[in-house]
Amino acid sequence: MSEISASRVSLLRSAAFRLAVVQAAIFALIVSVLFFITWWSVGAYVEQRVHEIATDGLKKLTRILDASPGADHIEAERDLDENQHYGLFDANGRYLEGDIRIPVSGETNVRTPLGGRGAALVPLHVASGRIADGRRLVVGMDRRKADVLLGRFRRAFLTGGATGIAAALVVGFLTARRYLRRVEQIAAVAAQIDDGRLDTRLTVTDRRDEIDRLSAALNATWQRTESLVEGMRQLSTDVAHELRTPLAHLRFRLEKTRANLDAHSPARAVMDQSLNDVDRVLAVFRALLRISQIQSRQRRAGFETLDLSQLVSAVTADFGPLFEDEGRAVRLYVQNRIHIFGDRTLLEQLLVNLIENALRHTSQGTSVSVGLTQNGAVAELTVSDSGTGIPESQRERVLQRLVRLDTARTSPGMGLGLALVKAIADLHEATLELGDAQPGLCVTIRLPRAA
Amino acid sequence: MPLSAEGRNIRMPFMDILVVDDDEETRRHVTNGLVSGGHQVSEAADAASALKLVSSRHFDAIILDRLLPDGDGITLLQQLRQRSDPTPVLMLTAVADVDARVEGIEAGADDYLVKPFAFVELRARLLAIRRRGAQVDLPAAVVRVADLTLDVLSRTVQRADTAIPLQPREFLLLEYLMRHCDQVVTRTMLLQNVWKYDFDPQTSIVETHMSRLRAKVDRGFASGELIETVRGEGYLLRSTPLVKTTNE
Repeated sequence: MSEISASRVSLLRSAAFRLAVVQAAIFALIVSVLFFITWWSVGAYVEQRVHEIATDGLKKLTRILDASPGADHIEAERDLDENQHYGLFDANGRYLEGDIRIPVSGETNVRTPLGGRGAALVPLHVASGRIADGRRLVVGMDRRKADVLLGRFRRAFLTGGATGIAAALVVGFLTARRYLRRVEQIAAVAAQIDDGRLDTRLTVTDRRDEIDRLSAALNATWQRTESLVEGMRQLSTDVAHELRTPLAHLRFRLEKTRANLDAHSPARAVMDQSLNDVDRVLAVFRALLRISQIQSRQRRAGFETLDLSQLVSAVTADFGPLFEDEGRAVRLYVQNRIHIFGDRTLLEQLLVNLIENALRHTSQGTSVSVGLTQNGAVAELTVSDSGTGIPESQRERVLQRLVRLDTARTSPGMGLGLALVKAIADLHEATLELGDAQPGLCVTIRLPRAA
Repeated sequence: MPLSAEGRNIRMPFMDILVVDDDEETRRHVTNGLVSGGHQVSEAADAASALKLVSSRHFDAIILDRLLPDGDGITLLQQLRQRSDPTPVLMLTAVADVDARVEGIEAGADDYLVKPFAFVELRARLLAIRRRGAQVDLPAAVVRVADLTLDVLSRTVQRADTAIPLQPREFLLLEYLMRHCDQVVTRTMLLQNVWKYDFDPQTSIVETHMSRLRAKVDRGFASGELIETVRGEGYLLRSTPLVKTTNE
C-alpha cells in the first residue's frame, strides 16, 4: 500500500485547496493592479481639477484687484464659489483680509484654520501671486470633498478586493473539501481492493462530473482485474483438478505395478523412481498453487496477533539437530516479545524455507544464524549464512518462480522456496532484502510490528 | 499380495468401508488395495446411492470424495452428521487449499487427504480415524504402551524404571506415536499433527527428530525396540516389542 493512500491527505495540502489559494493570489494581484491604475489616473485628474480651480480663482481675483487698484475689499462671496477661499497680504506679508491667514508663496497643499484662531484645520490647495500694487494674494481650493472622493474610492477597492479574496478562499476550501472527500473515497476503495477484496466498487453519481468519469473508469479497470484474477484462479483450480485425476491414475497404476514386482527386481527400482518423479511434479504443482493462493491475499482473513519471537525461537530450535548432524550449528539471536499481525503457518513456512535454503545451499562447516530484532515499528528477521552467497546481479531473479542459479543446481530443491518466501513477505506487507553477509547470503525481512 | 509390508506382524483390524467417489479408477484402486488388505468394501459413485447405503447399514469408515456428480461431498457429510451418524469420514479432494481443508473438518470430516495420494497414506489415516471414532473419552493424561509411560501433565517419560529426558518436539512425537500405537503413522501425518505444518519441509526434519527419539527411547533397553521404521510408509510404535533374534 502506498503512503499516499495510507495517510489521509490534509485539507490544506490538497491540490484543490492549493489551486484556490493560487486563484485568490492572482485575483488579489489583478485587483491591486487595477486599483493602482485607477488610483493613479483618478488622482491625477482630481489634482488637475484642484490645481485649475485654485489657479482660476487666483487669476480671477487678480484681474479684479488689478482692474480697480486700491480696492481694499473684494466681494469674495460673489466672485468665488463655496469651495474657494482667499487671503490678502501686504507686500511684507502682513495679513489684510480673507479666510486664509498664512501668506503662502507659490502653489502648494496646506492645512490651515479658515477664519482665524481656534477654527478647524482645513486642507487647502493654494495658489498665490502678487497683484499689480505689490500685495500678495492667496487663493485656496478646499480639498475636503476631493479627499473624501479619493478615500471612498480607496475604501471601495480595499473592501471589494478583500471580500473577493476571502470569497475565493472559502469557495476553494469548500470545493477542496468536497473533492477531497470523493478522492478519499476512491483511495479507500483502492486500499480495500489492494487488500484482496476485489469486488469493492466506487459509487458513480448522476452528476456525471470528472470524478464520476474517473470512478467509472476505475470501476471498469477493477472489474476487469477481478474477472482476470477470478479467471486465473478458476483456471488454476480447473487445471489442478484436470491434471490431478490423470496424475492420480498414473500414480495408482505405478503403485499397483510396483507392489506386484519382486523386491529385488530392477523394474521395481524404475517404479520407485517413477513414483518419485510423479510426486515431484505434484509437489511443484502444489507449491505453485500455494503461491497463487497467497498472492490472492485471501489468507489475510486468518491473520492474528502472534509472538514472532517465540515462533522464530521454536522453529530455529527445531532445526538445531539437523545442523548438529552435519557437525555445524545454527545460532539464534532473538529479542523477546516482538509481536506482529500475521498468519502463523505461513510465517513458519517462511522461516523454514529460509533455514532450509541456508542448510542446503551451503557446504558443511559453514555457520548459519537466525536473528530477530526490533527496530522502531519494524520487526527485523534475518537469516544469514557464511556460504557462497548470491551474486548481486542474480538476487532479483531468484525471487521469481522456478528460477535456480546454476551454482545451486547440484542441490535438491524446486526453485520455488524463495518465490514462496517473497509471496509470504508481500502478504504481510514486509520487505525482503537479499544482502551480502561477507561472505555468504543474508536475507532480511522487515515486518510491520503489531500495535 | 498386500500393497505393503503390512503383513509383518502388524495386524490391521478388519473394517467395513464405504468408498464414495465418481472417478472409477480411484474407486477401483482404493477398493483393490483395501480388499487385498482383508477389508470389506462397498462402493458408491454418487451422493444419492451413498446416502441410500449409509441409511441401510453401518460402516466402520467412509471415504468420501468432496466433488460428486450430484452434489457436494460436504453436503452429504453434513446430512450424515445432522442425523448424528458418528461414522468416521476421510475426505478426499483435488483442492489442496487451506480453506477447503478447514471447511471439510468443520463439516465433520475426521481427516482430509489430497488427491493423488499414496495408498499407504490412505490406509494409515483410515486406521487413525477409525480409532478416533472409537475414542469417546478425552485423551488420557497418562499414556502407557508396553513398559513405556508418558505423562502429559508433568511432561515426563519413563521406560521400565528409567526416566527419559526428551526435548519438547521429541515429547510430542512420542505422545503421537503412543496414542497411535500398533498403527503405521506417515511422515505427512506427523508433520500435520506434531509440527502443525500444512506444508512439506524439504529437509529431513521428521527423520532427524525421529532418530534422536529412537536413540533415547529404544537404545539400551533389554525389552526390545518399540519404534520401528516401516519402509516406504512411515513409523510404527509396537505395544509388543520385537526382540531381534535372527535376520529380519
